[in-house]
Amino acid sequence: MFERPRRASGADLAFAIAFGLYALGGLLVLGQGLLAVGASLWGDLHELLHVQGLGTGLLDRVALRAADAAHSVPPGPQVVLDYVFSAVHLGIAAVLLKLRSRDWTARLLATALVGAAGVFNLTSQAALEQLTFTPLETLGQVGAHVLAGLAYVYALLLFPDGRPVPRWRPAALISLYLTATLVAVFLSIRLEGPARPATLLLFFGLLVPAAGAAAQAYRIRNTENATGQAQARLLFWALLPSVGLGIVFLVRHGLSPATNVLVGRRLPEPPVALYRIFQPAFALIPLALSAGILRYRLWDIERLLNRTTVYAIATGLLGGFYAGFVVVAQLVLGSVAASPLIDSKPAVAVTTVLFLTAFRPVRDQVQKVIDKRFNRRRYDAQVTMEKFAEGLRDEMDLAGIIGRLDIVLKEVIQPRHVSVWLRDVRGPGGRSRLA
Amino acid sequence: MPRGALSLRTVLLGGGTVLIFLSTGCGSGSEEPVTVRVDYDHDEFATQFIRFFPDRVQVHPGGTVVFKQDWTGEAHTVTFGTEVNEALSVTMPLIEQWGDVPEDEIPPGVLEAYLAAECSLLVMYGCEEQPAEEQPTSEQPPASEATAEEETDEINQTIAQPCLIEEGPIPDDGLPCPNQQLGPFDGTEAYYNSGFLGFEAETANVFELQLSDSIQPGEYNFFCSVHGSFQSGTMEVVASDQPILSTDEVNIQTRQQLNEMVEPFRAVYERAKKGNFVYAGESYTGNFSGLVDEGVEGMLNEFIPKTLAVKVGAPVTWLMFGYHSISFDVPEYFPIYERGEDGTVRANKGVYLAAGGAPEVPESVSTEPIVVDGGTYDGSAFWSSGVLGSEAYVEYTLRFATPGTYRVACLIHPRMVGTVVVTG
Repeated sequence: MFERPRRASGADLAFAIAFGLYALGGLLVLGQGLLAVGASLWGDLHELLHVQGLGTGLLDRVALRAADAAHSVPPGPQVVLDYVFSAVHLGIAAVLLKLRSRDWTARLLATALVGAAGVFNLTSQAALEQLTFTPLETLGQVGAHVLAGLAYVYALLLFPDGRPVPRWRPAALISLYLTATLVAVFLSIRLEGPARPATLLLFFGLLVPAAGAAAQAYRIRNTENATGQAQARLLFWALLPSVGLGIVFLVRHGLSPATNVLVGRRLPEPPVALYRIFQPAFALIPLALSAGILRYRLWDIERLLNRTTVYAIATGLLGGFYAGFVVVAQLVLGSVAASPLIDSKPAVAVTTVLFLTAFRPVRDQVQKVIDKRFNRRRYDAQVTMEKFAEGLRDEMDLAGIIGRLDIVLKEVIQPRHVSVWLRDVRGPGGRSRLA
Repeated sequence: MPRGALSLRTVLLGGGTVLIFLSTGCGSGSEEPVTVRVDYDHDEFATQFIRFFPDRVQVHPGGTVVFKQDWTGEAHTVTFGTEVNEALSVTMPLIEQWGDVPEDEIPPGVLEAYLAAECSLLVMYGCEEQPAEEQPTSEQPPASEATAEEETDEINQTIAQPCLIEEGPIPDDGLPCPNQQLGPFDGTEAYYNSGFLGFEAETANVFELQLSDSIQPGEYNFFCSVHGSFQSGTMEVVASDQPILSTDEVNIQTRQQLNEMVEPFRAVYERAKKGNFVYAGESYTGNFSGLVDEGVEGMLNEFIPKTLAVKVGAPVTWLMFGYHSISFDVPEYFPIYERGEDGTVRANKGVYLAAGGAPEVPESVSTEPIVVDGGTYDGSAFWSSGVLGSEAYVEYTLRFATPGTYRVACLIHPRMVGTVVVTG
């Protein structure tokens, strides 16, 4: 079941605020990359962004970065790859928060995934590197890397049961974690120059899977519970390719991406090889986590998946119908801009009302189809109940009805035993009897 | 729904609103400052423009004009004053009349009149050949070394440091101004100079001109003391009750002027990428290190092609247009000048001089092509040709002793970077 609602604590609110700002920053970075892609396709947008970029505000700098990056946008398939990667990460982060908004493992994972969505998106990072960072931007960029990296490490140390490894006494454990955190933060903030993003990527790209794999290896050895061991084993094997890819990268390229050359020059030359190696490596981790959650039915995933699937399909269907409607109208009436049907406010209002009215029946139908295809027990139970209800019309014999009820109940909810109490209503003070 | 989730949604929406509010500068009731770009580094290819964008701005008394420099490698100043107005009233009509005419077709006296007006403002480039107090003697070092020394040490402190002179004329002793405190500009000052705009960081290359409330409506000229009248503009002070262009309108104007300047370079760049460049009626083929265009006050600061493949020991030649260096294993970027703790501005010798075994820098002031054999770079350490230039071009040839991938860079222009891949 989902968590029981309770009052949000101060910590919940603090997390919500911090996570909200962090996620907004991530979305801003991703949006900047998309703007750059848009500007590379449409000259007018490029020009508009340049004009906006002559200002000095935060959004002006976003616009200028996007406009500048428009000339060096990666090829289309790579852009798609970047944004599919980011979308999957953001989606899983949203699911995790939905499932366990108060669970710190889920929160850490969500933080890590949102960070990874931005950090490993080459298109948006290339746009970010177009301008020399202001001190505030440096803080944000380094902070996001460090936060995402550390959150990832700790999430993998805590997953899935929230108990930290190794199983040391709290004081020793806190000392270990605190020292590791301080060292990571200290090293990260000391980095400077054009190689800083690559160095951060390399550092956390190696650290996250290595620490995660080590933690899960520890769990395999020290967990007596068979399910716990299986979960740890799954994640361990999923993390291993990431560790391997990191090692292969180190062997092939050494620390060259982290070497500062041409320091002090504004040269947006992102380390493409580094991104293309670590991006798939990091894609494996959330996939492994998702596989683990699905395989072992952790955190009531089924219910959420069911809902998500139903709503996604229903929205997609209606969206598709709407798009089809627009296309047909376009074909019939000319261009969209020239079509009063599409442009007119009443048409928009009518379409919206139709959309809203149709949503519930469509959702119910989709739910039925999903249950029939993927949730067979629920579907069979429903069909059985419907058949029983229909059969009641023809059945006159009480003993026959009770017999059929017995069969239906055993089929649908599989009770240990069935008792039927009947109320005798033939006279005053009618009494119940056990059938 | 859990309350935490609701809070998160609220925070996301609220945070977004706050961000948009802050980024658009809402809540500020005062008039927005007008921004003028000094120079410009284009996004598609590295450039420098000896221009202000836009070159004409409107402002109200008491308003602020922000001069924001794109650091392209060039130093600039923003200089106002009645002396500037007077000198530009001579030079600008001459530029308009004779600016597009070849120098040898300009009638006698025109150039002299131009230089007399311009050099009265101590302009750094173009006035070097004016009669100096100290004439060269036989004890002085050879021309090439003298040029380097001249470049490195002799920066006029009157223009390089902030300077306020209430009444003219402007002293030509080259010393720092006694009064460097620039108060609000009221238009009556003889000389009101920002000094070299700072190179500390991207956000620091800014000079804010605060106008006095008492400044009279009218036109006030400004120019760059480094580059002279070609880099000049006009500030129109409009009475407070009259409308002026909005920030958006100014930005659109800026962008239009930038595009006009960039278009000729785009054509030059595309052609050069195919290995061909036409300048002053001559056609050139090969590798290029910086390009210019006759119609543009600026330079295209690129190595073209960006990546060169060459065999060990084989010569590679760059045709250099403008003033650049060809340098390898370069240190952290440093600008062409440095400002001492006492405010003294000195040229950075390291930029101009040859290093790592490269031949000495030849005489730069030449209308003839300069041909230099740079020898062989062994790939082991910092190596620099020094800053080379000619009014024609420089043909620079170099060989590589060791296979490897080398980043080649110009020490003046930060975005002028290329790669040489040397194979055995």
